Amino acid sequence: MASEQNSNRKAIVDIGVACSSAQSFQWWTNLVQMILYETTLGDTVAFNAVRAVGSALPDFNKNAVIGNQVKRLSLTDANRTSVTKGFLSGDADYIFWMDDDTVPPKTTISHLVRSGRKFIAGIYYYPTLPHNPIAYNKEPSGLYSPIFGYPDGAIMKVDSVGMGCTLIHRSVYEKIMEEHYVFQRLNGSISPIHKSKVKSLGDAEGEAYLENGVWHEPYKLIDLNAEGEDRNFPFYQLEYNRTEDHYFCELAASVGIYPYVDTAVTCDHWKLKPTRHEDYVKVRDELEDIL
Amino acid sequence: MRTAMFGKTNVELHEGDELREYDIMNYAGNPKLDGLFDRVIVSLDLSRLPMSRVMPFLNNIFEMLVPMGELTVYTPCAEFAAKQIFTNSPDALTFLSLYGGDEQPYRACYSLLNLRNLLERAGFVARLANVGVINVNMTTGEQMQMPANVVIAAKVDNDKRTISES
Repeated sequence: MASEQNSNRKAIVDIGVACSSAQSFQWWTNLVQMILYETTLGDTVAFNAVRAVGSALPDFNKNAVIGNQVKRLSLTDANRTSVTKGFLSGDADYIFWMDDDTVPPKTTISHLVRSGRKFIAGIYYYPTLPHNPIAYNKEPSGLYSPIFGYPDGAIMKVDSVGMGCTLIHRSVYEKIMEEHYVFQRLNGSISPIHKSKVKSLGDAEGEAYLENGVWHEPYKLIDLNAEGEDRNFPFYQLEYNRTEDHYFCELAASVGIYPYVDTAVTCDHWKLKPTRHEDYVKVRDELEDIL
Repeated sequence: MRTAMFGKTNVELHEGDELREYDIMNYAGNPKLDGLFDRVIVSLDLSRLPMSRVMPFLNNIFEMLVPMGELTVYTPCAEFAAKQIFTNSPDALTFLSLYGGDEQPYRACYSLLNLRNLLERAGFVARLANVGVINVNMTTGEQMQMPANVVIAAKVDNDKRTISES
């Protein structure tokens, strides 16, 4: 049964944009229109903040974090982590992630909130051929495959989604933090490990090594709430040549929360021109020998 | 848990659960007479209804459910049938999807998006919508798996916001 946590107030939503420095006024206009439309016509959501972090590209020189009142020069994962920190320090129930090149339909946010899912995304498409949907299932090999050929109008569980049109309830982030320890690796980077996977804590030192196909490395437990600690919980990480959204989806899966995708919510994905549902459908039908 | 069922399907029942079976063609649900249900399952039978009776039926089911009660609807998959026809490869399942059987002919075939829209027009909020398969007995006696659209939708109180754990 769909159940629990009822509230007769509007859902409070932050909008998070991880890379916004180079986007044109047309995109911002659309964002403002979407907010106005949802606010004036809907009775489901109220907006708290737009948290937008500039791209790391140095020549743009606009790495302002709007809403968090700091400046950064970071990659997308650090930008998302920074936005998340701002979101979690506020009072909003949800964060709605969009990218500076995705254009969701006007009532997307209230539509996704009404679905009752804690972690749900609309769908958008890769800008180059074959325009695959940016939502994935994990193969037995551990690699991800896009949900090519998905049913139109579906609300379905997947293993990974992009953050270009994604609504996440704050409890997802809180549960991830609650169920993970954070360690510092030898190279200074930090990594969350689910508490159930930690057999023992210790003060091991020395070099990292590979033995019998297993990587051994001293991990030092850190407290991100300690005084003077300015690192954020690493919800998003670009590593192993993968985008940061896969990393977050795996963290969420480790606490039992999987993303859903609503394929009735289709976005434009802008580069020099928009990639739309019909671009994907054309390729899909050609591949299925329908066209 | 009280469950109302239209059409045949396997329903998991626990001790104390009550299952009532109805014929969709002769159904006139009355909450005062029948009581409210926690769950309603419509297995393929929506396709038997004439168009003029579809929305009244769904509106009535909405009234028959408790708040946060769930409606599960299975229909033959129009996308599957259309593709079979379009690619000139229709088979027995294609015609069963479109027309049903002699005893229970169909009057409509729904796409997943179409089915979702109908439920949302009746006030439901879709929780899950996908394509699956349903076992059907053919006239030859053979059992086959027919693609089916399935939507699980909730009767959400408009004044309340809900979050699903599952």
